[in-house]
Amino acid sequence: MKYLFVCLSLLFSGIAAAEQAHELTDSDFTTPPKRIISIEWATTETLLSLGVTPVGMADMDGYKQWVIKPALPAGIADVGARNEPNLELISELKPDLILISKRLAPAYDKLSQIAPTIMFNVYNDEKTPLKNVQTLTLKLGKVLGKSQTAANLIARTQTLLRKNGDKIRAAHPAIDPLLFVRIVDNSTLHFQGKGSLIHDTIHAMGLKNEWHGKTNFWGFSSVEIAKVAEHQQANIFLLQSVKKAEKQKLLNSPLWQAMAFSQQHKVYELPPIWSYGGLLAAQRFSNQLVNLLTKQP
Amino acid sequence: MNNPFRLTLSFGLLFSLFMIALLIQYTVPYAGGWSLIQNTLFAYDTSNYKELIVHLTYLPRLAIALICGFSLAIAGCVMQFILRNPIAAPTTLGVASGAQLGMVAGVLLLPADVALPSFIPAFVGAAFASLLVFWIAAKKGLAPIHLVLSGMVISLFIGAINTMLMLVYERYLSSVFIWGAGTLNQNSWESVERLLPLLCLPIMGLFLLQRPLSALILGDQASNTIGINVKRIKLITLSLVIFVTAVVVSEVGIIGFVGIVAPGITRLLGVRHLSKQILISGVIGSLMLLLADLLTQPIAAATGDLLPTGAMTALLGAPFLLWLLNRQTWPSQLRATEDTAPNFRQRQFLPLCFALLVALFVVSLAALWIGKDSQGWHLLINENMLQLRLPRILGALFAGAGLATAGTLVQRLTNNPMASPEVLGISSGAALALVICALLGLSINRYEQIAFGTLGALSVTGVIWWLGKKHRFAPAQLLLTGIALSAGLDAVMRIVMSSGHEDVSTLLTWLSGSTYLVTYQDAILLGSGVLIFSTLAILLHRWLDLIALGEVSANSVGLNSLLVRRVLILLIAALTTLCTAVIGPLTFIGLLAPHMARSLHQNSAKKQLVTACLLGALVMVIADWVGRVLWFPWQFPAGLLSSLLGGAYFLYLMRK
Repeated sequence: MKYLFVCLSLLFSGIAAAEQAHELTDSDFTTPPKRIISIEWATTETLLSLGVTPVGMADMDGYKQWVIKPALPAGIADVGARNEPNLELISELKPDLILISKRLAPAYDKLSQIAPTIMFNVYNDEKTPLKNVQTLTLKLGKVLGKSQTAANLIARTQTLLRKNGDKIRAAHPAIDPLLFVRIVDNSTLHFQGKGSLIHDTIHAMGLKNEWHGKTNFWGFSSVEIAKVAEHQQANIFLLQSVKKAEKQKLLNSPLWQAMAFSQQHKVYELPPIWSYGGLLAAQRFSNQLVNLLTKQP
Repeated sequence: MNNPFRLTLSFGLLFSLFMIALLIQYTVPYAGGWSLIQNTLFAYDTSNYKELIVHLTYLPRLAIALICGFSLAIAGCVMQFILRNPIAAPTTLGVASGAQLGMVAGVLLLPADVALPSFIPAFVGAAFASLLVFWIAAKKGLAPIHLVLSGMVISLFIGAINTMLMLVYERYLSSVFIWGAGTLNQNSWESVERLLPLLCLPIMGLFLLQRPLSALILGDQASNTIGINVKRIKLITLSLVIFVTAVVVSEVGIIGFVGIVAPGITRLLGVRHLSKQILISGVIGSLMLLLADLLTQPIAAATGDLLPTGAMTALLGAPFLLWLLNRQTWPSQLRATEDTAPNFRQRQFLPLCFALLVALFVVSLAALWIGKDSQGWHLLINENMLQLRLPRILGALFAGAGLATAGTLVQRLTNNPMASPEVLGISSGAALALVICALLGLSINRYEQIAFGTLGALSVTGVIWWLGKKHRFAPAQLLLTGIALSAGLDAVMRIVMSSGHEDVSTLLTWLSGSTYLVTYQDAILLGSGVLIFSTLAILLHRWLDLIALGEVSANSVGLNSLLVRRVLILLIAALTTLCTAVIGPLTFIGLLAPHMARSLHQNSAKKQLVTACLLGALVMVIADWVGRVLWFPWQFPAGLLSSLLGGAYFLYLMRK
């Protein structure tokens, strides 16, 4: 009984505090901030696409490995891991704006003691990353005094996606839905679905995603290999996986070979792309899709 | 062997076979039921993709479940017998963490186009870890207590390395997370063909060895005198057990629970003879894993998630074990038994205490002053740095002290050297509460993090209290309840990590115990709590000395055992909850600080408590500092470095 009481009172105090926490928004800036520290790769990418170079970013080597483009200009300091950026180094860099995402929410108080901090999530429960990236671009444009650049970037991206979609539909008037697969190990696959940048991008291009299952936070579902049998009519697009040898083995396995998409040669391999990125990532991805689908007879 | 036992067993067997047949009918792909299996078996048609899927994924999966359950349960049974500890698991001697290190190294180091099944690097890793455990324990003649301790230290040590690698290379390692949760998914008969020959021989060997082995129950001394080479028998059997475990773990990943619980149920049924115990454990284990796997499949289909069987086994098995525990009175023989009389040596308490205090003071000051910035090392401190560093140092210090105290209390209360505050499941409760918050999409701030963590920990404490009441908080019961609870809660976390639901590295950081988020308020709260509860614990040192005599003797000298246990459980819960909510679970300190105190020859309760407390604080402050400066600007959680540094020191002590 005693415990029940303690638990309940704690729960209520927790809920009361939770209501305050959602007010984490952008503070007003009279002059555009000059020294920005960006923790997430998606915000770093967006900053660079607006022509702004941050003074510090987290996990620089990881960005070079996975995001690759836009290339990082010289002179950005690495402030450590994305889930625990180095506070001592951040305060030494004397930033006037820190950009974080939800995962650093518990550190919000500590960070905002160093500099004004904005929390923004490209990946959230609304599951609309492309729209979220556009909002992020507009918001950063406003804060940084680059509203026009931001609006142009968004318009350019939308036109490009539409045009690319038209190209593909011109080449394949009755194209089957697309299924984006990442091979994790010899019996597990990730399907990209609602909430992933890929899903939003192909929708903007007017194409259909084959996978409608429930997805996780990042917009993919983990499924066992037998699941592909239910989607044999789809066009399969393989995202890059970590181990090439294992992927090859799976592609040669009797199960994969028996599937309709293998026999009809509807399996494509995408070059490395960063599928959790911003507008530039969406642009590059749609160009690659056009390359793959219009090269075929 | 009496009648009720036979009845229970045959009834249980019939019931589970019936359940399995029913579940198979229900889980065959494409709702094909038994008729599809029949077609596949007797009229296999490769052009029918449904039969192809049944033949290549469904049937091998059933076979794998049976084989792995059988082998793990046998391995667990023999392991518990040799180590004389009812909570020992097949992976107690470092196999799982070694295999994981092998997997990680295989992904990161092997060139991408080398076609090596991940089985091989995992097996090499497991073998390496086990050899290390043997090498360390060999110095002390492979006594159970030394095997267990070195196994756990090696597991923690290698586990810390694994977690660090995972934090840095998270994006490369999604296959390792899936493996870590134990998936039985198959895409051909390749795994079955690999496992069968590798497992048959050692298991046959175990059955051949059971006669000389069962003589070990007399104790090492007596067995030696009736002409059995105890050391050789132990070495051979353990090698076989570890081989079996390593093969299974390397192939399908970490499947806990079956190996601990199947032998436990066997003993609960009253099976006494070792050979029968081994065989019946195996049968129960394979049925358990198959049932769990068949139950997992429809749940996975309904939720649309990939649910790893290994983790699901623990999740489904935990309530079952709790129910069993609540029904049956656990035989008292299930206590961990130490057969070698510890070699007591006196060492002056006060000088040691003083030296540790001075060391703690100096180290804390150094951690405050010496740091790194973008230019390299610097010795200077300004107001700004003080604000950033002092809360972390204080947090590390108090959490170390608090968990060391809690660990000493748990080990004294349960009389089991493998016990740590985590074993009771309290910190898993805190972790789970935070994971659930993250799953619900709440972005929580620091205050809520602490509040929800506390809530989770308190709920688990409530459950332990409620379940323990019936058995007057008997130690064996308490430990098994805790194991069931924490296995169930851990399973949820492993499922979350393998499905990529949450941001894995954030979760891992918190689970490893980090001082990154500690503020002044937290440190003050933690500090005052730890001071009060630790002082209480030290004041109660007489109780702790007396309960070690066993319930009967303790009661006869006028101790109210029930009251003592109640008070101690509350103290442990309070300390663990406080530290876990502020810093996260610190497995190493709670487990090994008490042993480190003992190895410094502080054996009475008061001396052990004080020494462990100071040692815990010292190790944590050093670990926190090293974590901040060694890979600057990257930082590693203090909990991980305490496992590395403390583990290295402890291994040195054991090998010395």
